Amino acid sequence: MTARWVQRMAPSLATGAWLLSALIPGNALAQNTALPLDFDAESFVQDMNGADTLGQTEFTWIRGRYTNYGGGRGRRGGRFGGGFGGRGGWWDTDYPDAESNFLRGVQRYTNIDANSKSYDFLDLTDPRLYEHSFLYMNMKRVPIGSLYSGPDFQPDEITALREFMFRGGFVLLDDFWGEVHLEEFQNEMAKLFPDRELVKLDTRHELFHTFFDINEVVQVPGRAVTWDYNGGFNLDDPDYPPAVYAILDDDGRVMLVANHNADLGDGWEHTFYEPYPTRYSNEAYKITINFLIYAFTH
Amino acid sequence: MSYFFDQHAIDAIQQGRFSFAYGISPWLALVLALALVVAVWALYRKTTRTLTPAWKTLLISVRSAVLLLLFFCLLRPVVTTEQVVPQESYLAVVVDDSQSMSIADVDGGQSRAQAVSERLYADGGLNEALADTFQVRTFRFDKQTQRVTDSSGLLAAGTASSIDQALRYVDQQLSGLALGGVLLFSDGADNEGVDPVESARSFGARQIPVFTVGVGQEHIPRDVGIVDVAAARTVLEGSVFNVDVALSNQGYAGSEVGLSVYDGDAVVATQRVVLGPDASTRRFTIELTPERQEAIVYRLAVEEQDDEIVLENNQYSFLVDNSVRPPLDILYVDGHPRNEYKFIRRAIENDPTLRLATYLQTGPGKFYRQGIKTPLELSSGFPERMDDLYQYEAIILGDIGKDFFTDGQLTMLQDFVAERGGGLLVAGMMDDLFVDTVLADILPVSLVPSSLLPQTLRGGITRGTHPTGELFTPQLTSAGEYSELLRLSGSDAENQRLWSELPQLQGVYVTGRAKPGATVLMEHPLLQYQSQRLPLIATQRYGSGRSMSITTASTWRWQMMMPAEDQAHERLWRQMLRWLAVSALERVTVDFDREFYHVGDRVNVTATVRDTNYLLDNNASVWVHMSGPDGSVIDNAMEWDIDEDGVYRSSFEVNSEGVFNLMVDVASAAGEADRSDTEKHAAFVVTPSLREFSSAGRDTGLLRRIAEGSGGRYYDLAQTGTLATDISYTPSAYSQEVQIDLWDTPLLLALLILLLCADWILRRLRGLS
Repeated sequence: MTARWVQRMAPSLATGAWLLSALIPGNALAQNTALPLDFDAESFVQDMNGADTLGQTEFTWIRGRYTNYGGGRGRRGGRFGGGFGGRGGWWDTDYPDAESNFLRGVQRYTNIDANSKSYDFLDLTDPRLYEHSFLYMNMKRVPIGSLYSGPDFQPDEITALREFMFRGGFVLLDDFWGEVHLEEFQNEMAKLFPDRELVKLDTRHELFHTFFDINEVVQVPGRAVTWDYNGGFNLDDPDYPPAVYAILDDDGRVMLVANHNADLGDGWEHTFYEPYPTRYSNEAYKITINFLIYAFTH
Repeated sequence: MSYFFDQHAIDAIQQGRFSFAYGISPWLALVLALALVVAVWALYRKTTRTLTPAWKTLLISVRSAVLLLLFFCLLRPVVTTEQVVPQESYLAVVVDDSQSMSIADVDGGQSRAQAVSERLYADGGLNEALADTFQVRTFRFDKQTQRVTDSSGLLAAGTASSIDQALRYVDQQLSGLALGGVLLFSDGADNEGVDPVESARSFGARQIPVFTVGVGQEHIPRDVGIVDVAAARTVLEGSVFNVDVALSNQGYAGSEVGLSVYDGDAVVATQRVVLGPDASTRRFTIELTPERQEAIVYRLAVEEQDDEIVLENNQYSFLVDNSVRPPLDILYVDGHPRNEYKFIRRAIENDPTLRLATYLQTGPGKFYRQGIKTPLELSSGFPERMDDLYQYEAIILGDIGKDFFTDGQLTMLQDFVAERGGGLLVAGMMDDLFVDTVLADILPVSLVPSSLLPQTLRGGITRGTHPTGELFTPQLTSAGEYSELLRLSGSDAENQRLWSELPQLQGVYVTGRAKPGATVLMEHPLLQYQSQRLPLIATQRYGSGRSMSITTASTWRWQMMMPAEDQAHERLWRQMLRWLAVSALERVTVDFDREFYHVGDRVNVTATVRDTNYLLDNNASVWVHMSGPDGSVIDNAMEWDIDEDGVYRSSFEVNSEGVFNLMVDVASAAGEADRSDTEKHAAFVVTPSLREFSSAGRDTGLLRRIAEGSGGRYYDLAQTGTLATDISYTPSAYSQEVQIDLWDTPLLLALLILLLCADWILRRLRGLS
């Protein structure tokens, strides 16, 4: 299905790749060695068709599957309901295209041993979670303010998540918007760590300088900005100021990071979708690569 | 003269030194004796009364015996023996005056010193008897020896005993005089570590016998004593360390006693312990947490028991240096971000004894530095100058290819291990291109190009595709089980349990066999190469340094797959890296000749100095700066010892108890100011001495060996009645041969009277006149 999507989008891919290559090396790597950026649609499609497989690499990107507000851990549109307003889960938003695209970038830009298929998803309570040290979760609640979707961490999930982080695991949360979502996010974090402060990081933090030097947190928009049916979002909307929140461990290391008013998943997923502004894809790649490098070095 | 023959006369007779002064021919003597017997027989042929033959034989025998005894005495029997000429030779009386002589374990509750004093100087004491024959010279000794004239010079206050030193001193002082013997009073509790028997033999060779008199009891009947305390002199890791205490006990078997550790007046640890059987020593461990970062003198005390004879050995002071010291510097380069890198860093992060400077290749041409001390450190990559590389004590190479290094850097890496004494760990993939480099020489495993490996061993560490990528339970070798690198607990059983709880590892890099000189600590349970299990962790010495290889990149599983509070992963990595770095040579090392000192001792300090290339440096200016607990300060230039390269010495006397801090400062010919590695801080402690009270029982064996080695004899203090006579008759260089008459011995006169009485009574019984 993914491959078919890529084929459909093939004409746009080349343009997207060109834009990406034009934007990233110039500014972001000014202080570093210039990197070749040679995404091309042909090799990408080839990878998608099976040259890469899961399990070939040292690193596997893990997406966490959590209990939804609606109950259960089903996917949206699954047997627990679906679509907007329904009782479906949104843990798999953008999965797996977002992962696949982003990991391809990781493979190209960094020395992390990854390929476009080195992703998987696990229940938070799955003991295999501890065979990994990086966990991504999408916090989407649709629509904004909805109480019928998004994560509702259960006690066993909370225990597992806390243990994962205390052992040294790194958690990246993404894709929640506005004040209502922020509150809900804070509630979930309070369930997770009632005694730990949620800190807002500014760009002086090491997290913004592990690979790329990022001096501004950018509002990476959701697809709705450019989607055919116009979701009502504007680019760089001042009503949704982007922020990076973190929870620190006892040694001051970031063990959980959350992007508020940003949708990194869409940034990766729509890398090659022409109407999606490449600049934001680039920002999504940059900040996430920084998170990954931070996770591997702290 | 004694009533019977003296012992020396009996000895002389037994040794055949018996003769007749009127040396007539033995044949003539025999004939005359026979003639006497025949004459008696002839006279008894006719008697006034008739006698039975039996009575006649009895009477003839008795009368013959009387006449033969008289005849024997008329021949004047003598023994030849040796005796000193009165007042012509000297006798050295040497008295132990150390603290152990104050122990009151002699019958009647006397101290050893009192008992000796009384035996020597009381009225009719040994001193008078000896003075009849000898010119007596008396000495007292502890660790030194002095002449004394009477008992007032004996104080039993010396903090150490050296019998050997005392014998040598006497030898020196009386050499040239006619020394006829040495009389040594001691408990034999010698604690200077030099066997005095050699000196005694030297006396013996010159025919100067040493007589030894043992005082005190071999086992002090009621005593609990601290025999030994072993604590880390420097606290390396964390804040907790163990103090091992050895308690000896006599008379309190099975009692429970309290052990306390004091820091000044404050109790910092207490423990109740049960004593072992009598005459045994039992070891106990107390955990301590030093509360300040400096050299701390702790005082360990064991509770006093009822009726305990020796109380002095119930306390013991020891020094633990908890002062801040720079961490060992380790350089870690890795070729790509990976879990192993992350978790090695985390394991070391809170260990103040180790600093990990890391240089990680995060992407093509991109590197990320962590743990650096200055913005310049590693700013141009892996060090290219020896100075820069040698600032580290150990180097870890992670997944990194050969093209990362220049040939010069690889050669420098070899010198780093072989000459600077650093440690090198390769933890991860081994690039085939290293096979023909010095790395192949340094590592404990042989490097085999992957193309030469059997098919089953090729395939990398990815799980699910090949045997080398599968999960496995690593096997500790016996060397590994007991290795300080891989211990998870001091107890064997606990160690095994903890290891069995660790999760499986995954994936092994195949390099080849362990080299013959290597120590394999951990190996793969199944996979083999050339009939040898694949080594997972191996170590070896290389030149002055150490090398190590870890051929899996999955030790991070010991962290992520164990409960967060488990410290096994941290502990293992800290132990391994500390081992790797700790033996690296230092520019300056400072040593003392003893563990601790007592007031009045001479402290000998040795500094070993190396230049920037870590070669022994004979051209340095070395200064020692010492500050004492009483505020005294000493600044000395240390002098190069011409016999030893790089060694500088200084010594000084310490006159107050407490901690002495010392700083050795080196300025080499090359002149390097402001380098912290050319300064070395050290500390030592001056404590009250307890050694006189530990193992203070009488050492009869030693005293006996001294006596026998020199031709003298050993006596217990209570059995010294014949001592004066024995000494005068013992052959020595200044005794002379004398003949002693035996005819006037009371024994012979008594025998004669007895025989005459018998003769008269027997004759009266038969009615003879």
